Amino acid sequence: MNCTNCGKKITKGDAYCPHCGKAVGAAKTAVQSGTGSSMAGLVELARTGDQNAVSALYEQTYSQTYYTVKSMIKDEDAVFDILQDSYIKAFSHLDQFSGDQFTAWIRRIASNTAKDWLRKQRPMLFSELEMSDDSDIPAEERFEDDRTENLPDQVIDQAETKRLIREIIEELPEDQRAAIGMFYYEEMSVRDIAKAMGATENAVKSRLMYGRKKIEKKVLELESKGTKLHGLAPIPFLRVLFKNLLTRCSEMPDPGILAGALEALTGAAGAGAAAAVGSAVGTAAGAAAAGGFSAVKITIIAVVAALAVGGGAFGINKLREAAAERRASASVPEYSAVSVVESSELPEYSEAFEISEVFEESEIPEESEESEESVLIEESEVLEESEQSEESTLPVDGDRIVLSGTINTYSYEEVLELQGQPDPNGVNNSKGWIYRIIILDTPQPLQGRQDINTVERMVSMIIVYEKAPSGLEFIFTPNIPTELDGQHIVFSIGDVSWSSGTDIPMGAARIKDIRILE
Amino acid sequence: MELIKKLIRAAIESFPIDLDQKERLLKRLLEKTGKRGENKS
Repeated sequence: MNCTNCGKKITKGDAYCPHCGKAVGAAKTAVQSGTGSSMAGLVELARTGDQNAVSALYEQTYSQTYYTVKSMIKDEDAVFDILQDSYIKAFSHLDQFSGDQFTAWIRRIASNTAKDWLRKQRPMLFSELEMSDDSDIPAEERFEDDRTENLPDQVIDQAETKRLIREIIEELPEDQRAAIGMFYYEEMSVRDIAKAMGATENAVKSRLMYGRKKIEKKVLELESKGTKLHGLAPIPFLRVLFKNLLTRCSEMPDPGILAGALEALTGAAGAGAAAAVGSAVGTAAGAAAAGGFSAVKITIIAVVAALAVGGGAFGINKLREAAAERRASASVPEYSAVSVVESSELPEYSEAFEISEVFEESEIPEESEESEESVLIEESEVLEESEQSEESTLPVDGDRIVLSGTINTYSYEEVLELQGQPDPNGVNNSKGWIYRIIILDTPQPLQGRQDINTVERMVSMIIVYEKAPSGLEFIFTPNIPTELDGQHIVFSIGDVSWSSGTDIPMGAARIKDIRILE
Repeated sequence: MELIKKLIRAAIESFPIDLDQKERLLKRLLEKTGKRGENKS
């Protein structure tokens, strides 16, 4: 027999056409009749055990549900298991569904089930920390191209383009793939993805950046091999796209950002410091009015000076947003030593220039209100999250502090993106530098070495190496192989010293003695 | 943002659906839901 919708051949007894997915026969009648004419009607029928209605709901939602799970998980067996669990869960709890958004409901259940699966694959190592208010705007959104009017739909619709991107997505490691899928397909926030994956927001941003870079790298590889696609040329288009993404973050710093920081400082520094802050702000504002990078620099110094006077807590929480893995696409520095300066030999700057003096540990963000329909699933998530938190542990290395994070090499522009702050020295001073950094999974309070500076700071990054365009190098930690770039590492640390407040990445620690454990 | 989102969305929605798997899952679902229903097939 043939499908009454698309005309293609189907097996007798099929409730739905395997080609077009539309209902046929009795199922079609059920869909078209009475209460069965809407999703809500089908749900009502399904609640009574009407199998045609169950089939209809299944057929009408399967594709979107499948893509929801597939966007997050590569393994087809796992996808199948998750879909099965999700549908059985949904149809076993139809009494909990109200409204007519059945597709959204089943997708939500599938998404949550997929997140459960992902969490089990990689147990949470650390508790989640709240980000600053600015983090509500994911870093990805701040830097990406939003010129939708330039979007050539024909290119995206082209089968070759879809195939290209699909294959690249398939090649991504599971965690990056999940982050990409949840962010771009499920449109989840970085915070929600972090919660779902039992990871920090920094780690999620790192995975997003890595995934994006991987796509860019593959596109460039294909181009270098002379791959030519038919019709419109998606590869040049993709090159432009990703080039735009990477260069957006190197735009000139806006003094308005700093003015905002000063306002925040005024509130945080306390009454005793208010006058000094006000003075500093006034100076900075005047300088800013003159424009240019010198104004930016003066503004930063004003902030720092006010901090020193007020002693207030001013956390540059933007540092916590730092994360990026660029193993594949990064140009690993060649360690042709021109000049090596060890951490103990670096000049220490006045306290007045220390920007990241004290970080206030944020509270764990409150759960956002969830819809009634999702309560069942969310409860199981919370339970598993707490269980995993108790299970997780790091190895012990004597009395040394053990940390974990991801090491990678970054350009100057990427470091500015990571720290979320302009360069206090002005862009012209450090442009072209590259930096090798460990982004910690969780910001960690560390104390400076006894003979230099014992101040304790909350550290998000450890800088191990930097190199100027001239070839001048600073190797702060000499024993970390370049092959580790892009890898998640567990390590123990020796004495800590601090970068100056004007060095970038701002607030990063320098640790000469790092012992890789895993 | 919109550009890469559209690209990735289009790519993900081009993943081929395994119809055998889909059919298998429906059968299991009907087995499960059929136990409590009154309109078993």
